[in-house]
Amino acid sequence: MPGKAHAAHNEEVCDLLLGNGKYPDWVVTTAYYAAIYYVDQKMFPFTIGMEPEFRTFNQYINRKGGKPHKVRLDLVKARLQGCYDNLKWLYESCDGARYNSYQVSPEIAKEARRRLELIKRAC
Amino acid sequence: MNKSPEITMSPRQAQTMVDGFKLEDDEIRQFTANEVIQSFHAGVQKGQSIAIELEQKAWFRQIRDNAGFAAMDTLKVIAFLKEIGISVLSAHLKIESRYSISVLITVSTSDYVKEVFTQVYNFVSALHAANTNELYSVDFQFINKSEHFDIDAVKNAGFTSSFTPLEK
Repeated sequence: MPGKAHAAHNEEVCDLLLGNGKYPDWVVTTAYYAAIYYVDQKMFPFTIGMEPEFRTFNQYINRKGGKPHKVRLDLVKARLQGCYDNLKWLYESCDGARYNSYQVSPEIAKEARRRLELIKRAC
Repeated sequence: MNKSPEITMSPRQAQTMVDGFKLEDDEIRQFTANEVIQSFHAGVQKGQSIAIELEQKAWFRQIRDNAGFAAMDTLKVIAFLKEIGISVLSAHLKIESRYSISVLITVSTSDYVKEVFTQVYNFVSALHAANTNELYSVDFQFINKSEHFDIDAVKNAGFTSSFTPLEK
């Protein structure tokens, strides 16, 4: 499972792009893809009842099925509630960029970075 | 008019006459089986097309009802957002399945980046939990609406209907 190191790696790219100023859409994307690995490494491994342990998110998806991004959001809501709002905002900003022709504003890019920081602190 | 000739015969003669029209058992069986099979086929085809038509009507009715419920829930979300100082610009509906609807709600960019905005996520979670049943569920998604908003991209994603009370 991509762990904290990969989360930090994506966060670095996010900062590079934010500093550059020309790619706010990718700032949001890298912020989201840093956040998911922070939350994954915080949540896993865990067990549910008598089921065998879920060691990684991929293992969870393989056994439970479902759409990965939505499943992760549900997991975060159940197990890491303090991160839910920020992760959902990042996900919807990332996924919804298409509705604004991928023209993401600098304010949204800045807000994405802020919310990533909040998630990282909570993890 | 001439009267029909009176026919007199013995019971035995009468029985012989009737027996003269007698069909063999397997002839009768074949005849009635064909009739039954033909009737069955005609009935099945007619029955099938009627069943399909009824099922389609049930689908349309369910979807129309669910769109109505989703509209009511959308109004609740709009009202909640108004309470926290956020105005909804538009809402768009997607039919995920016969029993499941998604609604995309747009707000201004300045509203979208407000700290308070994410309070709506808890509200829609609670709404989802309260209103979901085996025949209906609704999920809400949110995004800012900028000058680059592309309604065709929204429709391509399946959000084909817009909430008319918000349309100008």
